[in-house]
Amino acid sequence: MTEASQTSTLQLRFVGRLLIACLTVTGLFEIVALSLKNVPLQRHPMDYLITRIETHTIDADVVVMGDSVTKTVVDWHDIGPSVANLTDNRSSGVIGMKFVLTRYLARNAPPRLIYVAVTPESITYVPVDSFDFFVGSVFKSPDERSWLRKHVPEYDQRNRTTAIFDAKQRVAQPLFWAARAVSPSRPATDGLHKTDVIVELEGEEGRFVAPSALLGRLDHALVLGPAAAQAMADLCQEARGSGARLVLAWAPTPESVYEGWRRQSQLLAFQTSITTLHDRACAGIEFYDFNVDLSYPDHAFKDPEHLRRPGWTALYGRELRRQITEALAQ
Amino acid sequence: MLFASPEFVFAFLPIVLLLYHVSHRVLGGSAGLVLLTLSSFVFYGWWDVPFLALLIGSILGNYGVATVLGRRYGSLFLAAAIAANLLVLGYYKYRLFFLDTIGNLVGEEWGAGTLFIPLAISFFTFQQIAFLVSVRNGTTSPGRIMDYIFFVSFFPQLIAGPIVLHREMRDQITARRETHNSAMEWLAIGLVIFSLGLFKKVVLADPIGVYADIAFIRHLDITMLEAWAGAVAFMLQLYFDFSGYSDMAVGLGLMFGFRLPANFARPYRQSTMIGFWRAWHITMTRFFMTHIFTPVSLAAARRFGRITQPMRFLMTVAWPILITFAISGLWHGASWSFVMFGVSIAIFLIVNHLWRLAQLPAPPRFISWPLTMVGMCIAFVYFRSGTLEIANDYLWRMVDPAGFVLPPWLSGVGTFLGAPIQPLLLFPSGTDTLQLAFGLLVLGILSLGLPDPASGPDKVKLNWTTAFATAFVALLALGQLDQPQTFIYFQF
Repeated sequence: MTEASQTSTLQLRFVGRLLIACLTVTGLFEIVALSLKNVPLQRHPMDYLITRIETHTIDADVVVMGDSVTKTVVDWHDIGPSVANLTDNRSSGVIGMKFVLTRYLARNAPPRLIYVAVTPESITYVPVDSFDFFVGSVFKSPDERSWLRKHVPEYDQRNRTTAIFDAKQRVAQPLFWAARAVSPSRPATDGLHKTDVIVELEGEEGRFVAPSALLGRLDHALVLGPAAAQAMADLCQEARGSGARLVLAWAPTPESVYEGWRRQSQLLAFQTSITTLHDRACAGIEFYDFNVDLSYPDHAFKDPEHLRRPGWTALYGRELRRQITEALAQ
Repeated sequence: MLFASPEFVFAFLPIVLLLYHVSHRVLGGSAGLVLLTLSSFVFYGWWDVPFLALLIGSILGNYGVATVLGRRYGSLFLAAAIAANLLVLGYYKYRLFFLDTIGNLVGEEWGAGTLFIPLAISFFTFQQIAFLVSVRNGTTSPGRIMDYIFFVSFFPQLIAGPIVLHREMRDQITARRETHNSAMEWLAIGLVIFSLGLFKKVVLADPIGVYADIAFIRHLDITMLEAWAGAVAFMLQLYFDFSGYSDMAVGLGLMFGFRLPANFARPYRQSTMIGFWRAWHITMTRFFMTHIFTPVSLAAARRFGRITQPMRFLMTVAWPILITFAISGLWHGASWSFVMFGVSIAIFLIVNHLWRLAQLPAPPRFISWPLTMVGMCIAFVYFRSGTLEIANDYLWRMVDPAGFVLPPWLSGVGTFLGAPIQPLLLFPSGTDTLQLAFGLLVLGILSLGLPDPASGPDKVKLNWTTAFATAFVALLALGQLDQPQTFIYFQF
């Protein structure tokens, strides 16, 4: 046999081995992924929240939900004696909120008050590119799947791939959490740190977001899409079914953005669209606006949405506590 | 086109590979090389077609100069050609930097337009300067024009190196041109090395880079522990990103039957700064040592030959190192932070050389290794930061005791230690922290122990173990190809 043909044989043999190896490795990953299917993932705050709800009883008078603007405050500040912190960042939008509330109510005593403190954009938000990461792979019960299939057309069209091509989510993460030595999830109420915060509000010095950067928020139309509208209506019905009052509060907003919304009557129109949703499912909802009694100047924000720390964040925390206390007393 | 992009992996590479080997066998070596040269132009032009003219112009211009270097006034031609190469590089890459620097000195502000740096300009400029010097020295000859065009434009090494010397490629090109053997015996080994490089880039470097990005972009919000985590994450990202790219280049070269020099030799195993720079970006260090350090050092030795230590050390070692690495820093990017990156390395190297000169006992590895790594960590902060101001602020955060803050989930420890508590960006929860720590640990171990087949392709055995290892890394990497990415060294 010549050297050239020996080389060819060696190459061909290796290609054959490589193909067999690829098939074997793909199959092994599929088996491992299947066996780890039910390990709760811990990739993002929504995962942590779901694990907390599923593994702990968090009975409370008040359930607080919200996006990252509120989450920063509720995770850190003491906003009341009996509060279940169900805040998440905006990643899963109002669909995530609806599912979280459903799961919470299924395992806990009904609260007296469900307080949703968000930026209006969070109510309209439905993740697109990250839908599977933040919603599809988190909410997998039959009811949840059925709801998603019915109301999110893209849900069944998402890319399904072999385990090795999605190894991080389907193998690495579950393996990591299956083998974890410490429990990452504590009851939400344990996350409340009672701190005496002296509110010194940040002034116009230091780093804050430029007013021109804030105005981009005005480009976003406050309109509910079909899936978000359905989720919002369902959330209202869940609240009503549990006998709890539902308050939807608008989180602090930069003055210039708020002024823009006010000029265009956007916020009012948005509230009206919520109360008239799907046979007036949200007719009983109560609105509150943190920007009415207090205004939040543009320099109170470190980016277009989030308040600066520690001063303005603490002020919002104090306001939130006051508001929740008043709402409970009514 | 990125090596780690679906269009490259699933379209460009298989098509060019097939056409090259078939045309080579059927039509002969010259046809194979012409096809590969044209493919390289497509590869480069994919990014920006007009700048293809700059690349071709540069190649033809330098080749023209090379043909007259052996004649009378060759040195003058060489000096003029190097100056012309540097002028083009300076215009495209350093124009704003120089104008800003001079403007700051004289208190003026000049609008110099937007900078648009042609892809790989630093690499092909320096490669061709090395070529011209080699021709003038007689260590290589210009050869055929088509071979030279192929040498510079050969796409595996065009964009970000390795910086290949003409003499390393000359005989290989001739061999490929003159035979019908397209060297397919390297194909499988090239595939193995390419897969490992792809894995390093998309599975290891990109995910850890997210943490480095958070730390450096939001450097004003981070605390001491986060600053360290971000800096270490960047060290690992940079290594796996660039060594992954270099592995892919070497692997691609082999697939087409060409052996390119290795660029890395497990640098994070080194416990001295000198050792580190023998194992990190080897071809760049070789270029700068040959073309800057050695001439400067020799000139100093001739000029100050009779002086005694320590002045002799200062003039023939310390000064050339400082010059060499400051220029090497500037080569990386048009910013003072890159210059400081080079200067900081130079300082560490000088200390290392001084230690040897003084014949002090070598410290044990458990001391020298962390010291070397901390030194490189500091240098890489300058590399990553973009401006001196950010780099200095970042480094201050790494050592400022007031920045020792613990996250809320460690409030028990915080109370015990009396450390302040606040929410932290990189450690928002115990879960996230554990993941980051686990990631850093795994990548740290891999940076020390992952096999390095690019340094010795002959040693790769095409057995079952290699087949399974290749399948494992290749499949994992292919699953991540759709993630947004770039190569850190593409900006140079």
